Amino acid sequence: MARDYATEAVVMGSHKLGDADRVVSLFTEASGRVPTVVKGVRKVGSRFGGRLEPMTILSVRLHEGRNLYTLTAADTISTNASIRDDPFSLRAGLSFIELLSRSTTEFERRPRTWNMVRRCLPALDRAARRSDSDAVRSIVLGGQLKLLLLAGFLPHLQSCAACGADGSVLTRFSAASGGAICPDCPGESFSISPPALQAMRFLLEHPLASASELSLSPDQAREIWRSVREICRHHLGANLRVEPWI
Amino acid sequence: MLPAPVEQLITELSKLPGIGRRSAQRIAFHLLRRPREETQQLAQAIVDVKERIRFCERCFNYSEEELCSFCRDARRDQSLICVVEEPNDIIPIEKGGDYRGLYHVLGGALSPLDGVDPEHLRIRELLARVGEGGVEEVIIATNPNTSGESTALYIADLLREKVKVTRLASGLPVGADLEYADEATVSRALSGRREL
Repeated sequence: MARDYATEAVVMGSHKLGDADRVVSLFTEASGRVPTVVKGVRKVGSRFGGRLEPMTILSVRLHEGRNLYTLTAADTISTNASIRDDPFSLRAGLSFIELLSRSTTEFERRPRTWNMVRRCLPALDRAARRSDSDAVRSIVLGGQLKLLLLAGFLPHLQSCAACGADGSVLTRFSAASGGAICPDCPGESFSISPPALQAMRFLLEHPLASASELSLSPDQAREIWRSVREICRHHLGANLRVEPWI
Repeated sequence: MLPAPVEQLITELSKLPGIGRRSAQRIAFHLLRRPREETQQLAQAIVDVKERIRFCERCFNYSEEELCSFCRDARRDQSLICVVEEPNDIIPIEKGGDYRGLYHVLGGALSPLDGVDPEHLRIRELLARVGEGGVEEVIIATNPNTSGESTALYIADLLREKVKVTRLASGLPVGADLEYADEATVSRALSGRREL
């Protein structure tokens, strides 16, 4: 790859570097997750300014250095500012971004994940703009389940993931077993309701554009989120910090 | 290759923010060349700052005494509190010369991704100060980024019923060209426009 190249990117987050710089974590179309130095971005007159807030979609030019990449140009494709304007949708969006970060590795190109993220954030932004908290819940959980699917951790929800018993008796969820299980199967698990399981199936089987058609109760959303968190903890070894709705 | 004390000095200096090993080496050799009294003054200044500086008990700014110079100054407007993330955020506001109220230092900003939740900031102490009475307005001067904005929203929700809550304006920096402004900044500048 050339030492300088252009790609599209989603801003995942950043931390301070030195007096006026930041290391911004970008999820890029060309190279996956890329930690990128942005010089002088904390100064008032920085040309990058508000473009590097989390969940913004950018067209960027990166310079590949010896140890780190440096951002040399950035144009906004979509600010997705409505997600950040409301604490509920901001927390939901950050929860999605955290799982994106945990389920991807640096410098690994992930075209299918990129395409999903590129659709998920604008959909979340539209839901946040119309203050549709039901749609925010469904889109974030749909996006998170798809992130797990794309990372190779699709939960088995059709029959007992442990013994293969018919789907109608599934009442518990076990990340260790790989999905929903029947009450007779042993192992670390928690109770999950049939509507929550049905909603998980819907979110996994349908495109993200359909997620907002699903009406999730707060309790069902919490059950699905718990399943996502447990899969992440068990298979990725990561405790998700951002609970999307508290 | 270098004597152990010099190596130790380089190691300690390179722990400072923005100082890499090469810069640390330069500073270490510079210190070796300076007169003994000068280096002792530097060492004493570092010891003094750690021994004598603490947090103000009211606003959590750095202070030599129980209360910082702002909280002790009776001429400052006691009905105004400006909320900042860190003590060094006070410096540009003071340099501006227009603000004559008090401060409250939160000690950071909400950042769920980094595990910083409300209980990790001095928000409870701010509520207590407002609860004591005499405060008419709280100006929230957290940074205009996602963490700072979510912190501002969180505090505003807690205080709105009790006092007037305002937020520092966002928009184009003085002296900048509109052509180079990003979309989020221009959008903020437009929504915060004022009549001339």
